[in-house]
This record gives sequence, structure tokens and C-alpha cells, in this order.
Amino acid sequence: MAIGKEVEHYLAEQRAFEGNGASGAPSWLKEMRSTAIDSFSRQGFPTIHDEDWRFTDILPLAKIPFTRYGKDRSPLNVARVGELVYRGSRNSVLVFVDGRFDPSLSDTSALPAGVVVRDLAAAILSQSELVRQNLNRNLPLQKHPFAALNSGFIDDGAFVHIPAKTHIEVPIELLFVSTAEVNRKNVSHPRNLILVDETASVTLLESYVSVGEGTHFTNAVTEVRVASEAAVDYVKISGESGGAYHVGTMEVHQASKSRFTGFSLALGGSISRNDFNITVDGEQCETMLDGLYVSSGDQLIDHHTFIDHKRPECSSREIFKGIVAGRSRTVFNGKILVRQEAQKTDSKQTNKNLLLSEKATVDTKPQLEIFADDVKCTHGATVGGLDGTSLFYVKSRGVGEEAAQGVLTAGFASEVTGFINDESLREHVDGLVLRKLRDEVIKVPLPDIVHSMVKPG
Amino acid sequence: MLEIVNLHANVGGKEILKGINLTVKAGEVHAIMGPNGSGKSTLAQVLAGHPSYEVTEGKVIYEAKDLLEMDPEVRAQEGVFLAFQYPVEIPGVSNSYFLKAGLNEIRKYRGLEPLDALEFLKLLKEKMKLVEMDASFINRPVNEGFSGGEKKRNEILQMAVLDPKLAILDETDSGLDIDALKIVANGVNKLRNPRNAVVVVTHYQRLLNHIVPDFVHVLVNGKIVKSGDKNLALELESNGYDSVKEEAESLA
Repeated sequence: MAIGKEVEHYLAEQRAFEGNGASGAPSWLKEMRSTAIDSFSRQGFPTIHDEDWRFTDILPLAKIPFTRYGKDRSPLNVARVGELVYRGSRNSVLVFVDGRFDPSLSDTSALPAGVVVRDLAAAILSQSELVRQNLNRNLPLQKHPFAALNSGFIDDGAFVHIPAKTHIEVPIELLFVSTAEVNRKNVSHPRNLILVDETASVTLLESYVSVGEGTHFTNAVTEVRVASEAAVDYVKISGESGGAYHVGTMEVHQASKSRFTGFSLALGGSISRNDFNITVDGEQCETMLDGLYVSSGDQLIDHHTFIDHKRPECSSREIFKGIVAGRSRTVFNGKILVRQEAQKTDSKQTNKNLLLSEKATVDTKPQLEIFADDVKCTHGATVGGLDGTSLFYVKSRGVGEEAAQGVLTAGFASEVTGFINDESLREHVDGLVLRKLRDEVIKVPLPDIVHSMVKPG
Repeated sequence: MLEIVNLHANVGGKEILKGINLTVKAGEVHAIMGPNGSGKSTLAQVLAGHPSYEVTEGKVIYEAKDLLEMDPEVRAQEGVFLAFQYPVEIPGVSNSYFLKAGLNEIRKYRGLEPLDALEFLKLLKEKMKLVEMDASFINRPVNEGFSGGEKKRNEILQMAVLDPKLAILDETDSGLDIDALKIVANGVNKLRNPRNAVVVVTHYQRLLNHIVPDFVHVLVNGKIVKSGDKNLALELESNGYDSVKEEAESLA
């Protein structure tokens, strides 16, 4: 098959990357990158003829020959970046600018000794064996062209290792800032590796933001390994500017009796594709994967989730909600595989979409493949506008049409953001949602989101 | 204050109100009673402007204005309040924000300055005493997780805050035990004054022991078939609606 010029461009980029300065890497890494870029060249960019990309035309992104960020950039406004750090993680944050770790903006002083939170480039040298064993451990590159592309450029990102029985109270933030200068078309391939050992617990926040409005491409891969009886709370925020193309792939592997609670907040980007693949590979695990996407203008926001139940007696719950306005499009594809051995699996998936305009479109597709016979699996999806009776109730108290819509829309978001366990992180997420709603969707004053004192079961 | 003339309304293509005539003056309490399906709630919701109902004939004059021409929020701004039979839950939005938003819109309409957060909180706490609700309800999402009694009391709290001229209580007593009923009735009674009016829609007589009506109207099959004073309610309780139905049919 002839290699298209879009792919050839990235092969040439990778050769240049391998040739300059990346040559300090250990040979296992060079081999890994080489295998990966080969895999990408065989697959090429997906098109709408590929099942997993049926609703999401990635051609606008594929056509642009993005180049890696060079050294010639305007200096970053440090104060501005400081504002972007989640205030609960001021002393537990790694900051990356255009994919490059920036130690001057990072601060891990709140973290106890023994916990490793550092840039991947350093971990590749200092914890080589551990990194080598875990990178691409559970990620079938031949099915994920963007992960293969990312793997061809593995270089920097975050490395987090929480030792056994260690409980980290303060949330750790991995903040990725793109300078996104206009008239440049740059790409970064952040690579994150998170290892949480037996009976440990941690909350992580992975945020993507842009400072400028220029066109740029972020192709991120995050791998998380959750050992037996460990608990991980993970919030991913995709909040880049309107010029961004964002493709994020998260792979999670759970061992027995572990808990993974993930939350995806997708607000930004021109095209944003967020994959969450969770392999439930032990008994009695709990998996929660929830999310909220708010789209406006001409945005396309796509979530593809995959939960692979391999072992018995596990439970999973997915609740994704979307607020879709303007001429935007959203996609939710939730695949659940319950293998034959996974008896007594209890799995629930819900996708609710609020359409706020006539031109907005929603594609929602549950995919359930169930091979065990003693299981409980339910799924449901709704797409609709605001409820007439609820609108009437608000208006009957004197509130006008637009403000009434705003009130109900803010309330719609609250159900799902309520699943974020850390209260202050939940407020941070609520704040970002409200800001987007107010600036781009329903341009009226909105209530602060309050969460029930009594959580539903 | 309110004049309903030959009001016909339908929902889902089916005619429910078949010619209602009713006059309510300031300072009065009117009770609308009737068997299930007679159109009591329909009447209440049509007056408040529920979008599911279509008025096919007749008019409603409120304070010399055409009520049916007004959007629901305008009716509220003009001083019409409906206490819902099934109050709606609004997850994620606090009781206090909800009420402050409504109140300030109504104040704006009336040419009054909006209340700021502190002033509003003071007002809210004062009104909460009327319906014996404690401070925890201030920040809870509207009606979410509230018991039936709490939802109905919350409706009366809203009424107390918004200070309407015409309050319509749609089966406010349904699902309430006697203690909750008394609290609700007490709240309503304390809000009465010579400038406002209340229309109480109810199936059972017992609420009317506590909110004593000046006039009682019996609604059967979309029409008011009999009107009287509070004794009519007691009569209905002993003899049931059938006796009134028969009487109405014999006169037709």
C-alpha cells in the first residue's frame, strides 16, 4: 500500500527526531519507537471507513503537516501558567510546556518521600527497567494508530509511581500547556506512565490547556496500572483553545479488588477524541468511568470507551452526559466486553445528551458483547432538549426563557460532576463547566452548581 | 382581580375545560373542588400558562389585562403564583439561587431594586420560619430528595418569598399527613391580606378546615356546576360528589 504524504511527513519527522539529540535514549527505547512508527506507517491515519472512526472525520487534522515544537518560541508568561495550575495541586504539580517538562514551573514539595513524580525523560534513565516493562504493556498499537504515532516519539511526559500501602491525600496534577502561537502548526506527543502499587491510593488530574489560539495538535497517551486493592481517582480535563486538535488515549489495567474512578471533562479543541480503555483483569474490582462534554460552535467532541471485563464478580458503571449546542457534534461510543469467565459482572452504562440547538448533532452508540451468562448489564441513552415541565416550573417563578434554560442546563451537568470524589476538585470542574456555558453556550448569569447532601445510591 | 369567562381548554386533543366562569376579588379565598378528572388541576395550570394546554375558547382578565396573552414568566411577574401539585426537582441548583433569581426578576418588573445576597438571605430566613423549614434547605438543590411534605412546604415558602397577588394552590394537600397539612395551611393563612387572593384546588374537604374559603365551587366534567359558601364543602363531604352531579344533571 502506498504511503500517503501525510504519513510520510511523520516518518521523516521521526527520523529527524531519532537522529538529533534523542540519541541519548537507551537502545530498548529506540527499538520500541522504531517498531511503533512502523506500525503507524502500516496503519496510516484512520478514515471514516474505519469502524472506530465512523462518526469522526480526522482528515482536517491528518492533512496538516504538524511539526514538533522547536527551541524558537516566545518565553512563556510564568504568572499566566501559575494561574492555570489547579489550586489544590500547587505543591504537587508537574508542568509541561509544549510537551517539554518545565522544572521551574513544577513543584512536588507536598509529596512524601518514596513517591516518585517526575518527568518521563528522567525516569527512562533512572528507573529504566520499570519504565521499559510497563510502556506499551497493555496497548495493542496495531489497533491504535494515534498511540502508535505517539509511541514513535516517546520522549517526555509524566512518570508517577506510588509505592504499596501509600495513601496520597493531595491531588497530583499533570498540566500540559500548549503555547499555540498563531502561524505555527506544532504537535506534541505527551506520554504518561502511572504505576500505583498494592493497596495504595491517589487522585490524579491530567489537564490540557492552550495559551494561544493557533492551530496545534496534542497526541497524548497515558497508561495507568492499578495493582491489587489500590484505588485511583483520575480526572482528565481537555480544555484547549479553539485551534486545538486533541487525541488522548488512556489505557488502564486493574488487578483484583482495585478501584478506578475516572472522569473526563471535555470542553476544548476543534476536534477532540478521548479514548478510555480499561482492562479489568482481577476479581472484585470496581470501575467507574464518567464524563461530561460541552460543545459549541463547530466543535467535534468524541469519546470512545472500552471496558473489558475479564474476571468474575466485578462491577462497572459509566455515566456520560453531553451538553451540545451551536452546530457542534458529539460522539459517544461505549463498548463493554464481558468475557466468558467474567461471571457475576454488574455493568451499567448511560449516555444522556442535552441538545440545545437545532443544528447540534449527537451520535451515541452502545456496544455490548456479553459472553458470560450470569451477569447484569444495562445500558441506555437519551437525546433530547430541556424538559418542558421543568422549564415551565422555573418560568412560573418569574425567570425568563434564557435564564431558565441556563438554570436547568447547569443542573443537568451537576449529576455527573457530582461523581468526582474530591470536593474541591469537583468545584474546580464545575467552575470550568459554568465558565464555558456562560461564555459560549447560554450567555446569561448561571447558578453555582450545588451537589446534594444526600448522594443517590 | 380575576375574571374567567367561558374558558375552554384541551390537552392532547381532548377537551377538559368546557366553559368555566369564575370571578375572584382581592381579599377572597375560593375553593375549587371536584371528583378526579373533573379538570381542577387543568384549570390551575392553564391560569399559570402551562405549555401543554391549549385554550380553545374564552378569556381570562387579570387586573384588567389579558392573562392568556402573557408568557408564564410574565404572569409570575404580574403576581400570579401556582403551587404545583407535583413540584419539580431541579438538581444542582440551590433553593436560594432559584428563589433569588425569580424574586429579582419580579422586583425588576415592578421597578424595584434587586436584593443583594445578604438582603435576600435575611428575607429567606424570615420566610422559612413561616413554613417551619430549617436553614439546611437554603443550600439544598430545589426539591431534590425532599419528602412529599417538604416539597409542598417548599412551594409555600416560594409563595411567601415572591409575595403574589393571586395564589393558586393545586392540590397542595395531596399526600400530606395532618401535621404537614397544618403547617402548610398556617403558612398560607399568614400570607393572606386584603390585597391578595387565593384559589385552593382540592379534592378533600379537610384542608378547608384550616384554610377557610369564602366561596366553594364544584367542578364536574369541566364545568362549575354549583357554587356556595364553606358549608357546601361540608355537604360534599357527607354526601359525596354524586349528589351534586345528579343535581346538576337534573337542572341541565
